[in-house]
Parts: sequence; C-alpha cells; structure tokens
Amino acid sequence: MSDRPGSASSPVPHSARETRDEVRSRARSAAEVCRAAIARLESADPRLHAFNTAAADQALARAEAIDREAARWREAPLAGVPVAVKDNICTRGLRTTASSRILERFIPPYSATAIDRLEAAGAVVIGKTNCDEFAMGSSNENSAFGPVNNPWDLDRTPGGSSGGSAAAVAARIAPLALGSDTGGSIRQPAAMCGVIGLKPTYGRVSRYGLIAFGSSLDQIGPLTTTAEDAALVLGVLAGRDPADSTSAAEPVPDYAALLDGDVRGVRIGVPRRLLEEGVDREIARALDAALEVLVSRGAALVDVDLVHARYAIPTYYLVATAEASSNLARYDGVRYGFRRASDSLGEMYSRTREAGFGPEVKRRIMLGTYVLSAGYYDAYYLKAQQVRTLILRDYQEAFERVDVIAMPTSPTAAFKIGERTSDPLQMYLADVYTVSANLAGLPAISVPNGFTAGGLPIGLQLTARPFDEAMLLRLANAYERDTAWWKATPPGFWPYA
Amino acid sequence: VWRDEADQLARSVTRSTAGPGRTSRAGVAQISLHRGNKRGARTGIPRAADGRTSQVCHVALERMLAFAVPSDFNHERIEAIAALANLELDPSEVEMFARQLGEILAYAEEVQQVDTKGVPPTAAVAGAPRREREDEVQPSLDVHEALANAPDAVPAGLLRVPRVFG
Repeated sequence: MSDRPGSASSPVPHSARETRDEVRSRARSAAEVCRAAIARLESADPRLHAFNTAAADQALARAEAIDREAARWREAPLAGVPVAVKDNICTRGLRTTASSRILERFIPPYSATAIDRLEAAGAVVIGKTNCDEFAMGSSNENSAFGPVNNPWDLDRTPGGSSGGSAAAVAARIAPLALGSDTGGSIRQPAAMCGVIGLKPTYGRVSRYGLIAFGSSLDQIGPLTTTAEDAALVLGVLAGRDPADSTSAAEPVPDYAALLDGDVRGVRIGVPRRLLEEGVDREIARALDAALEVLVSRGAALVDVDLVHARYAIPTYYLVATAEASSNLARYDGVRYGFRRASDSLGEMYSRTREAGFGPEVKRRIMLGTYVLSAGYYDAYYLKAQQVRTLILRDYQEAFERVDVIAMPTSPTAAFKIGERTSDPLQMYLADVYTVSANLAGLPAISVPNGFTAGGLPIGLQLTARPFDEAMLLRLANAYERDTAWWKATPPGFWPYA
Repeated sequence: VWRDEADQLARSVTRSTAGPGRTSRAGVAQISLHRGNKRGARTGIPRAADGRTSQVCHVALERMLAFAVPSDFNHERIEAIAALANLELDPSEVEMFARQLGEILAYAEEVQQVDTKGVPPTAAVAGAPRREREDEVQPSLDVHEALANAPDAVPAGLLRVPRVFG
C-alpha cells in the first residue's frame, strides 16, 4: 500500500449530508449546488466519458423549484443533493439507454421507484451515467457509447458495470450516484474508483423501473464517498413497493443514526481458503491491514469456510445469462424506438436485435438461450440453481458464527482499457468475490481500502446477513474513523477551478 | 432440440474414452485443463479442474452422458441457438461465438463436480414472502404515453408491424 495519491492533504469535498445541510439552512441555494455540479460534469466528463446524458436544464429547473419552496424541503433528507443515475434506471422524460443502441432513443414514460423516492427526498438528477450495455460487464467497455476512463488513471477502466456512476462520484462530480448490482456491478467499480458501493439485500430496494438483466439477482444501490451518505441514501431508497412484488416489507431502520463507531464484539468471518490463490499480493495485504484496524476497535476474527463459493462464477454465469436471455426477449423492434425494417415480422425481430445489441449482450443471450434449451436445462440451469442453494447454505451456516464476512472486492486493481476485452471468460473470472452475494441475496458493501504501489484504489468487501445493512454501514463508518483513504481524490479532479 | 446431437456425442464420447467415472467429462476435460492452466498462470484464480476429485462424479454415468457438452460449438449449432434467440448473426460473429461459448461452457462444467443429490433448486432468494395483490383495476399509463417510443404506432393507439403470414 502507498499513501501517495491525494490522501489527507486534499480538501474534504462536500458530502451529500453536508450539501443537504447547507441547502436546508440556506447557506447555499439548491441552484448554486446544482450549477456547481453541472460545471464539474462539463469540466470532467471530456476526460472521463462517465455520462451518456447530462440533464443540466431539467436539473436546474428542479433545483430552482426546491429553492422557491424552501419550507417544503426543510426536513428533506437529500434536499438539493445532486445525483448521477446509472443509465439503466428509468427516469421519466429523460433518455434512458442502458448504454445500448437498441434503447438509444428511449424516453421512459415513468420513473423507477428509486428515482421517485430520491426526488421526494429532495435529490436532483444531473445526468445518466455510462455503463456496460444492459449492465453486462465488469469494465464498462461493453457500452455502445464507448468506455469510461478511471479518474485515477485515464488509461484504465473504472470497473463495471456501474463504471460511470463510480467515476462520477470518485471525480466528485456528484456526492452520490445510483448503480445496479447483479454480480458485483456496484461494488467492483466502487473498489476500482476508491468510493463506497453498497449492494442492498435482494428485496431491500424496489427494482421497479430498473431495466431488467437477471431478475433474481439485480439490486439498485448507492455509490458515495462516506458510509454516512450511503446510510442516508439507503434509508431513502429502502422499503416495500407495491410495484415490485419482490420488494420486502422489512422495517427500515434509521441507518445513519446507528453509525456510532462501536464495533466491539462484532465477529468478522474471513474465508481464508478462498483467498489462497488468485488475489494480487497488495490486495491481500490491504485486507489484512483493514482487519487489524477493525480488531483494534474491538472486533474479533473468525475463520469461516465457504465451501461452494469456488463454484459461484460458473453458477452465476449460468443463472444470470438464462435470466438475461428471457428478459431481453422484449427488445424486438416493436416498442422501444429502435427498429430495422423488413417485410416479415420474424426478420424484423432478428435484424433489429442483430443491429441493436452489442457483442457481450449477444454472447449472454446465446449462452442463456442454450442453457435453457431442451436437453440442457437440467445439466446447466437446474444444476446451477441447486449449487446456488449450497452457496446460500454455506453463508447461512457461517452467519450462525459470525456477523459479517470480509473479502477483497476484486482480486486485482483497475486494469487497462482493452486488456481483457478479447477474452470474455477472463473477464468473468474477475467477479470471483462479488457474485456469491447476489446468488445468496445478501447485502454487501465495498469500502475504500488503500492504494496499490501504482496509485490505484483497493476495495474491502463486507457481506452481512439478509437485511443487516446496518452492520455493514456501522463497520464501514468505524473503518473510516481510523483511515483516510476515503478522503483521497484523484489528481486533477478536485478541487475544480 | 439437439437431442440427436447429444446422443451422437454421447456415443462418440463412449467410444473415445477408457473407463467409467472419467468418461463423462472427456468431452470437455481437455479444454478445461488447458484453459485452467492458462488462466491459473495469469491470474491464479481457482482453475477449472484442479483435482478436488472427492466431490466429482456422483451422478450416474448415463445421466451425465446425456448432458455431455461439446468441447466446441459448430456453426450449425450456433446458428440454431441464434434462431431460437431471434438473433441474426454475421459470419464473423458465428465464428467468434462458436469458439467463446465452447470455452465458457467448458468452464461452467465445473458445477457438474458438485454433488447436488437431493438439493432443491433456488430460483430466487425471497426478500419477502411472495403474495399477489388483489386483481383490481388500478391507474396505469395512458396508452399514447405507453406507445410514445414505438417506431410505428398509429394514432388509434395501436402498434404496426410487418405482416406475420406470407
């Protein structure tokens, strides 16, 4: 680890909580905050390509409306906070592409529940962020509109699929972004960009209006610079939604109020066997150093064995592609704007899909179609679902003895753009530590955990019991109190002129 | 769909391998090992076949043969899958997918090592007990709004598509 980049000498940028406090106390107007965010977007995005669509006019109009009705927003948890939204989350009247040609001109007639909730809390959407097409990828290189550059090293990927969201928060364009996580798509880019990424428990946040990829795995969650902000946002997003039958009615605690820094007696499980091979040395060392910090705060380490976790990747790619092939059947040239004309209906479907989908999406549709087809269903899909049960049971057993499980988020730091594109399997294997939380439906968080000698961010991943996001946030917050990684900003992106 | 091909493959696998137990993976073993070594060297991520034999092959030979995976996809097979998925692929894509899907599935074969006898499948991890809402009419999108993105919608609130028959 090195403390070279930014670290504590950088000024601490405004968090979502500080921003809303300023807006609520009228120290700054929502319009001022919004204009500054738009200015940062315009200054940084030519270097990053983190946004597919900027929504300057709409955002400013909304911010001005908040200023006009200040009394109404006095208690709003996110009053005037700029938010960047992954482009696979529907925003009414604002183009939503999922970074795909096939949705290039799609203007949603409704907003996702997550967006409605954010806006009801006072947040202002400033733009839609670039991502892997339909959230399929781990590097953001599968976007139909070109890759995102990692703010820490512009030649490297920001991770993916929520790469634009992670880059936007890391570059301090917005204090908050939404991402979606099907196999690590919030946590892995958060790790590679040095920010916090939280994947909530399956069912914690409504998926209504999230463009579906793997419906039994997908969750929307926040990317932020502090645990407190993640807590604040989760409190806004979480809760039952009649429009999503899989959303849970579990009570929503006041996550932010639980961040007292006390982790005494918390039992942290470490799956040592899973970490024996495949992890870069610097990443493994960073994990050990983080565990020491938490132990010195009173947490205890316990060895756990997630026996079936080594099968998580094949299981994930069988389940996720099967679900994707079904979910993406709806893009047929009839309803969503993009069409390749033909005299026959069947040919119109296939030509539209040929021209509208990129290679990774086609690859996954093909794989999913194959594993669901007659004769192969039992060997692949059903088998994967059974292994999924075993992965889930491993976690259930582990959580009888521990409160949280610690792992790296990604086995490597950010890799170079183009380095892995020719080999999809190689790309899939890098999801080794993230996919099992999705298969098991568990909440997991990636927390900034230092830098490689080359100055690239490293992530610490924590996984907890279902609906125990409070445990993750408490640990993340406690860890922040003893470390300064989260304060580091990428050179050239803060402060803005 | 490809039951005939699977049977054919099963026969060829039986012919080309020596004893039971190993037979089932013969069709993929070569590729798994090869790729496994290559991957292992570069990333150290757990390899496709790294010899944890204790968990291997509890499934009846016959059953596994029926699902033996081809180590490579031929072009006809790729085109058949594409047709099922309503994808029209160009020749270079057919070529690429034939190679890549074979590789990915050879790796995915790892799941066959796991003994899942009597293990129920998990289709979804329930966040909440599923319950259906009452079947009552509720406000929904206006039809014109809902059709606003369609490339060819007619003012009556209909979608126009090419003819389905001849």
